[in-house]
Amino acid sequence: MIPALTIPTPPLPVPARRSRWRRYELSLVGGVFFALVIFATAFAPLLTPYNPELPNVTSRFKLPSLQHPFGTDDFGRDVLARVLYGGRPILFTGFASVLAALVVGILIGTVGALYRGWIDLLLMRLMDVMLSFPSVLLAILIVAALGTGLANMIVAITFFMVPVFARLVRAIVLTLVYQDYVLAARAMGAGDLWLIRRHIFPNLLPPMIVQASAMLAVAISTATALNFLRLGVEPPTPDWGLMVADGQRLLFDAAHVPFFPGLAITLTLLSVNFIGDGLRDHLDPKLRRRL
Amino acid sequence: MKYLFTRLLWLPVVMWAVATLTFITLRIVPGNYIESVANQILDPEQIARVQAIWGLDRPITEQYAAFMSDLVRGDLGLSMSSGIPLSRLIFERMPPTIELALVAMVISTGIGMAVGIVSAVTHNRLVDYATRTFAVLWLSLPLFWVAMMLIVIFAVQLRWMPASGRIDARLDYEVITNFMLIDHVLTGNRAALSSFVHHLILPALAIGLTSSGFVARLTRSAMLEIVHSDYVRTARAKGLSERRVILKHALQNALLPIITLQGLQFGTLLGGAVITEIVFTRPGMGRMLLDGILKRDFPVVQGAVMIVAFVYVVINMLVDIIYHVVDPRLRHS
Amino acid sequence: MSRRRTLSWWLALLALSLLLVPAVSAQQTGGTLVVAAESMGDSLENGLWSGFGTVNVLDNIGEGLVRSDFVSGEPTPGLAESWTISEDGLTYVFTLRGGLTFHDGTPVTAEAVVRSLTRDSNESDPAYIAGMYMFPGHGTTNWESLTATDASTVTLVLKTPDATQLHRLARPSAYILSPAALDAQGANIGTAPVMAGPFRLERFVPGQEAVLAAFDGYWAGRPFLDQIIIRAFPDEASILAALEAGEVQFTTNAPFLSVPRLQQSDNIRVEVGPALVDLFIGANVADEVTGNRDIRLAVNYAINRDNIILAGLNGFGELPASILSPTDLGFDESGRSISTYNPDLAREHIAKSGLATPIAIELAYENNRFWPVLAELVKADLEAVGFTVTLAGLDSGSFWGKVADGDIQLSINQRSTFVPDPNDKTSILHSVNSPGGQTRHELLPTAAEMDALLDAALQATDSATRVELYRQIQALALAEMPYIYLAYLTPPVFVADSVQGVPVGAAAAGRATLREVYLSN
Repeated sequence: MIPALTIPTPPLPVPARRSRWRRYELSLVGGVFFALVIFATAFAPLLTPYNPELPNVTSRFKLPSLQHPFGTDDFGRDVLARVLYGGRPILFTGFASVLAALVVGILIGTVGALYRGWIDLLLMRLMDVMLSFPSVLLAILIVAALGTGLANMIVAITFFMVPVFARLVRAIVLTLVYQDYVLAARAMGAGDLWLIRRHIFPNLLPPMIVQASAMLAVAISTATALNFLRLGVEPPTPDWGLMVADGQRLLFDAAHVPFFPGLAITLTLLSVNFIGDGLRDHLDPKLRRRL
Repeated sequence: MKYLFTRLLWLPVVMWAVATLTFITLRIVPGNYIESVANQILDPEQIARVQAIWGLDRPITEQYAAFMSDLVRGDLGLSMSSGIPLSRLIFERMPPTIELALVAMVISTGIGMAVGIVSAVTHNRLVDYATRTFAVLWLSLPLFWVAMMLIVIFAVQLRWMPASGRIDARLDYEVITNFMLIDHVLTGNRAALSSFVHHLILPALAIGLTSSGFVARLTRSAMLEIVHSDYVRTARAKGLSERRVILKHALQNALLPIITLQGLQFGTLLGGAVITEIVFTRPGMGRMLLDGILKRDFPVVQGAVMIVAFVYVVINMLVDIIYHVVDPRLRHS
Repeated sequence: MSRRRTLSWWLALLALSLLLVPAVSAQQTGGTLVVAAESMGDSLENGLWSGFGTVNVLDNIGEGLVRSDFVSGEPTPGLAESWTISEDGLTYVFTLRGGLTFHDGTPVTAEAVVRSLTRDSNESDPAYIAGMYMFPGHGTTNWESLTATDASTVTLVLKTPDATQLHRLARPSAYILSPAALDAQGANIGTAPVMAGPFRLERFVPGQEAVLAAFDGYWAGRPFLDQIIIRAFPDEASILAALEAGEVQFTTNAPFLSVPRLQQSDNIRVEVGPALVDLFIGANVADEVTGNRDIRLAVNYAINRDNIILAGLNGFGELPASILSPTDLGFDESGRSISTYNPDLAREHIAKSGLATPIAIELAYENNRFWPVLAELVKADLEAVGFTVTLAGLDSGSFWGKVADGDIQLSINQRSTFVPDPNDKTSILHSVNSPGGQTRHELLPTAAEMDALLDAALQATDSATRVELYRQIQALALAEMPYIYLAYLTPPVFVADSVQGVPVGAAAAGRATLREVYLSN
């Protein structure tokens, strides 16, 4: 049934004998690739001579060639140029919404944990309600209310990620606040700010980095999904999700048009996930012991 | 028992909050289907009359009170663009989405757990690396992209499966609950059942495959944690066969976090169903929601969002209860 | 007549009948046709407008007193076998066909006709849904009275003459419903309408698909097909996939650019429809920039329409001459010279406008089908002569909302020949009684003059007068140019190779009745 079961499991605990490099090699590959993606989208104008939005009817549906490595689309636009520029809204949405959700989440979680009482109750119940919506649905609902566009998409994605951060922060802060030495220090008159600066922030940082890297992948994939459903950025702005949606009708006539943006999304998400894994392995002490 | 009771009591509170949040969100920005149509073709007096019929001229608090009192009586109102009661639309659209999400869940759990177990028992060997990379790859592939590829390969090139629809519309069948799996089994309609399953495979596979990555990773880490626990070491020391140790002891304990994940995953699966329905032209809440948004038919958007949230909350509650029943530690405390 | 000669006559007759037999029997009865539509309403309530997919269903299950022939532009008998119109053009007397029944077997009576045609203003009708009937369907606001004179005669009296009244009675909103069904279904009639058209509704999945079955009791005989399935698809891409997978046999909504490849394929055929649909840019005359006539003319001359037809419509278009189609009564060819590409003239008009270049301008369009392509091409053309164009691609809902609000400078739009009469498009786009926010044409200095012409043309009973009036209307529209014509669309109709008898003209207008369609082996 499960052939692997015949192989005996190695006796444990065995400290990993692999070198540091070997252990993180996938994460390193991911990190390098993601850096390349950021570089390529940021410096897109220097990397391609073509305008990603301007139609050029004389060169439509060109197959990939030296002149157009990814071919051209139904407007005669260079697909490589559009893929290079098309990462901008996605990556921007990813970083901006994770950052915003992180800030709001830390604020809500810390306030809740430190002040407890009705404010904590209210905030946490609100978070519960927000978590009662499937995430993509909550994002769609907000876009329905605010309308499409990059800014609204960022708001929508931020919105559903806030409770994830807020709950985690609250749980961590609660365990910190009730540690004996903290209780003692507070009894001696140490203020909230001291607590936040000296104890909460440093202890919050590693799990937040792990969580943020995981949420970056979620944010990016939600952003591409919203753009695919045409609820995000508007054409002719190049964007990977939108390019796949637009290219869908070319699937049988010029498959390269939807293929390359789809590949870009996959590779970017793959690299972000590898980075996230590496960070988690490195920063989560419980996991580190096991690897 | 007491726990179950508090959980059940909590449900209406959550639903009230969900309804309120949806109501507020959809009224942040003015404008809706009725108003945009009326503004295009009617004179001001007629516009006022139409607004009065739909209650759009009343203050927002009154609209909220009316909405809530209707909701309590189970009345979700009428669609603005078609005049059809929301209850009817939900009867048509909710079952296909739930079916899709549930079958996708079975596929993702099946594939995910198998891969996770293989990965765990081959810990840090080549097979482990391969399966782990496989898991990350699947959770990195955009769902809509996978759905498109499945259509190109299996529907257009090979013609093994259909590219669109929920069932072959030429067939004669009866609609009872509109959950086709139930209906066709009840009526013993074999042709309809097989056509239904045929139409379900590709979309469910698209969602199932892309979400199997999460399950695989979770299974692997849960299994590793347990395989290396004293409990399993004792079992092994007792001389039990490796297969028995893994399947009986380790897997049983790893089931708990997997069940929890499935509850949370169900939201992702429902979201995935929304996207997949679009690509595969299936009826469902996704199409209903997007059509509602496009037409600015807000009763439809509201109904769709609330019903999906409701299903999600109920499923999570069920998972929570199962968890309590299954977990011996929680049972004894 | 000699015997031999008689024999040869008989032989000739036999030969002729042998020739005729295959021709007749080729129209085989049976089979299912799957039609891909761009949308489907949640309701088939014919008093509401809910998109072309719904109209496709209604056009096959329903019928009014009159049918419209989209090729000749003539009204033809429907449920009424004949009618008379009084000298003054005010009184219409319709005679119903004898022995007609609805799909539920109940008879089609004059009372049923009156009830169906007036139910959108009858609040006591059980099927009346308050606050829904906003579209001026078949002209009831101009009706003095509609009465059932006897069981098979209906008399309609108008307030003012209306040359399009017969065609209006062929619109879906004027299809006759079974009173028994109206009573039984009440406000849910939209999910199970019972009419008297060539097909009956077998199953309806709101927003998704309708399954129709041949109606044996149809007055012109049972249709050839056994079954029609009309299914809504979210976009062109999924229609194309379903077409390629052999799941769809009839559609007008596949991507144009796939035509060359599909024409090569063995199982799909592409037929080209007549020029019944106009594509144009509406210019908002209430706006400071687009309110300037020279700017509107500059936009007109800046556009390279050959390029639009080639690149935007993949060749499925013709150069425009007017808002009217070449087949319309009173169509004036001379407008074609104005719709020409002349960037120098465009720059001259910009200079004359007195506005400083670059002139910022916003162009809105619907975010689906070929609209984004057209928008991009227009943008490039306009920027070449001194505009800077901001594109606003909107989903249908937001687009029409914004158009209604009247805060768009330029918007790309279309008009199809929903009713084959020149009044249809001209009065919607130019009459002060149809205040479209798109151009705010009611603010033009010539609005009163235009309105008088439209009224005269609508009320004229003799066609020579109407031809003359519509020529003047077209000339006036071109002089002020609130609408800048882009092209006539000659839409491709995609059918499986086995599909025969395709009504290309009606399909191009989005009003295809598939009664005469059949499947060959």
